[in-house]
Amino acid sequence: MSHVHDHEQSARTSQRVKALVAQLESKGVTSERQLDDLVQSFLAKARPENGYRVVARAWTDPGFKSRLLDDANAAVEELGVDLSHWAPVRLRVAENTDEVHNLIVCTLCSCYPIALLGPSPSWYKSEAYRARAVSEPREVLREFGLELPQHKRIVVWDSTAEARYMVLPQRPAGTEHLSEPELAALVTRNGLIGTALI
Amino acid sequence: MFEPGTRVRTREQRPGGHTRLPRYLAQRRGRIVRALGAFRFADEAAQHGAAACKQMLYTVQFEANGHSICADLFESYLESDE
Repeated sequence: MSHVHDHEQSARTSQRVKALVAQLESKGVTSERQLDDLVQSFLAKARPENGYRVVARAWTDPGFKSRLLDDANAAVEELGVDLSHWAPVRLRVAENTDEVHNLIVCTLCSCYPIALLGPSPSWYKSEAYRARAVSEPREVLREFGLELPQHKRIVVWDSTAEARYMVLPQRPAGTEHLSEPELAALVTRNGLIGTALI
Repeated sequence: MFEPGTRVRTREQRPGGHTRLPRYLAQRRGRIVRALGAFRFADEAAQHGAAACKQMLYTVQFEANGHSICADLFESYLESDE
């Protein structure tokens, strides 16, 4: 049901976007070429590898990790991640621990840390995920194949306004010998949304 | 201004218009976690664009059935519940 609904909604949205672009082009405000270039340059910078590098640095450099948890915008810029096109959005990082597991959602629409994770997966934008992540997160995680121990507290971050969230997963055991790039290669997109462990 | 740790209650959702207070978090009790700074008030910005006033934005934590929910809410959505 909700898939059909999402599909219809997305078809409606793309029709509206097409009509808007046609108007802007006919009035000489912009061109399809200009829009393509804009999207291209935005997406070229918005890559999940940015998020993976941030996590690997946080796992290996405690000073960086504490700066990341305190002021993530400044910390990720240290690593050369460009957030300029994103201002004034506040980036925040939620740390998984032995006691707490974090999960990211946007119940109102589909806010997502694109600069660090690239474009969001389609399930993230589905009505089912958006509704159930806040009402029954443990069950949702189970469907992602993630069975959390009962004692672990789940904190769901609903991105309702000007902040975007990323999860800092726990560093897997037995990775002490790995280099920072090797650690970055272990990280996954779902790990940074909170629907998987690393 | 609310200090971290302050107990707050969210107001009713305004009828009509744009808001960033989700319905499931209206008229709920929570606790201020952190002040994020002043941002253009989204409910007004939807109508008046850049002319909208800025308002303090707070991360507020709510306790649900077996888990916690944190959401970022503008000051005018909140009243003290101390």
